[in-house]
Amino acid sequence: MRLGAAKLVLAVAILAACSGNNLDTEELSHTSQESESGHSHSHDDTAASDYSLDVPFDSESIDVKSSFQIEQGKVVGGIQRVRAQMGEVVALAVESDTPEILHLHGYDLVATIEPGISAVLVFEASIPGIFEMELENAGLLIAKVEIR
Amino acid sequence: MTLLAHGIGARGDLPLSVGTLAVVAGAALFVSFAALLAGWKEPRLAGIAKGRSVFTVSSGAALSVTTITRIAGALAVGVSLWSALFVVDSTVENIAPRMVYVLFWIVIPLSSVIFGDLWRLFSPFEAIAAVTKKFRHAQPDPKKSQSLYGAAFFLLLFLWLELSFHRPAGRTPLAIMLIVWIGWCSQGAVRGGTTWLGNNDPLAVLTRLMSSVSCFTVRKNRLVVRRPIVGLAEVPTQRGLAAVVLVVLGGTSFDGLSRTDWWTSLISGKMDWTRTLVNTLGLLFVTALIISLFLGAVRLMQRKDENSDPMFEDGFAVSLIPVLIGYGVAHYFSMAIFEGQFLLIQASDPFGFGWDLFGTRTSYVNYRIVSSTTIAAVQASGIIAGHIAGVVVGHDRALESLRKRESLAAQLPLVVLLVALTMIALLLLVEA
Repeated sequence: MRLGAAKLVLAVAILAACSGNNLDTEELSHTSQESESGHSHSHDDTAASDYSLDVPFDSESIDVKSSFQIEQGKVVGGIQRVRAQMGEVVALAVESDTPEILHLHGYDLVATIEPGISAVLVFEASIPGIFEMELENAGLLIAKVEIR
Repeated sequence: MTLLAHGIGARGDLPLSVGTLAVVAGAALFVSFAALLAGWKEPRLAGIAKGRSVFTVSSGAALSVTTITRIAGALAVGVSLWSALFVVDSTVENIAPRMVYVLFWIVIPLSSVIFGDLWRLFSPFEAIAAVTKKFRHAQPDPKKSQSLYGAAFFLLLFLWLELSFHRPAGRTPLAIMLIVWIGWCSQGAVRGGTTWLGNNDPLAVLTRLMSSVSCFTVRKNRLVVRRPIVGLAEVPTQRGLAAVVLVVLGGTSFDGLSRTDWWTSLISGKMDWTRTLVNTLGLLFVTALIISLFLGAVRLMQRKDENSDPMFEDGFAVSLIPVLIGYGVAHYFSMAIFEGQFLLIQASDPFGFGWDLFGTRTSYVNYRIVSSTTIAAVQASGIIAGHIAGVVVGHDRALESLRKRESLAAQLPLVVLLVALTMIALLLLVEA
């Protein structure tokens, strides 16, 4: 996994600044995603089917929005279940006091988290089911995303 | 398993709707009491379980087929062990976790429900048993009933590793488990042959029991076709049969429980051995609960029947085999479909050498290959079919082994038990 994780860190491009109309204090990190099978063989560079959307967290086109905060290895407020309908645009923001990699399984969206810079995953709900979002290194479950 | 470390079971099933729950539960109740009241009065299943022979293969042809399948089985076991020992520790790059938890543990047993006992066909340990046959001095008497407690113990250990241990997909635990399994089965195959394997290899015991509902079976090079489910009447009553069935039912139920938000919150933030401890207590508690429900019901029957059969409970454990299959289908059908695709992708390049054996190396898991509606329908049908078959087989078994066959009161605890197990399964699926 070390190889894969290292590559993911490289693959994630962090945007230095946000668009002008984003008045949130937090900077948004750009999301990147790769299919699990895509990085199963680090030497191959196949295009992954892309679920991620390049939309800021406060955009009006987002239907379902949730923010999470991780402090000292715990999810503030406990594990939650995010519910969305197929076709809706979902945005999940995660802030953590330690550097981490955020991963939404199934959709396989990945983003890096630095202390003070929260990661945001924005995607269109297009696969039904329950998907776990977790901190990859700590193996900490943050939320279950239920899409029907 | 909600998620094995990183990635196995990435897409969880949607909760069953309350409407589905009501329909399935209602049907289960109706069938249960209808079977009791209007049921047959003489045991019937054993009579039709014989089936009819479709064709006979020559022993030469049988040998060629089993040689090929068992070499394939040896390759599967060998690749798993090699990967667990030498390939990078990752569920994406290492094929061992999915070989063990998806192929051996889910795909082979569930496919055996339809196609007959596949592990007997593919098991490399059967090949060891066949090759060493002429060197064995004392052939074990196949008529003599062997205990299944050893298999039950290993199944419990396996379930603990899968569901309670905090790194189930790690290389080290997988390697230890594979080495213990291979060692245990190889020595047993040499010493006790195929009879020993059928009663002691945990995977062989599980597939043997689950395949008893299949329409297909092989008897002395004859392919026999029979009606589904009736084969359960031929499952021999053995010491430990109840233990095997209850341990696996308990594990599957705990797996269901661990997918609920309640359990997820309970273990949230608990890492490493603390997590293992909490999950161990959970697994043991759920298993103990299922065992108590079963023993309570069966002991009550035994008392009402004034029956002193020492293997009374093992005889009735047969009626839980279809329930177990129903639980398995409901919990693992989608995982077999999705993770099976992942396994095919990984199988193209099992060692990370850049091979593309099956041309699937760059494929993706298609999570939309079956719809949520289909999955929910399979889950509901699995549970209800398992329940109906359990009631039918339990009733038949009661007519065979109860002294007071006509007594409905003596059969009632079994029916109540089956209804309770079905309700537990449904509630866990609604809370998924």
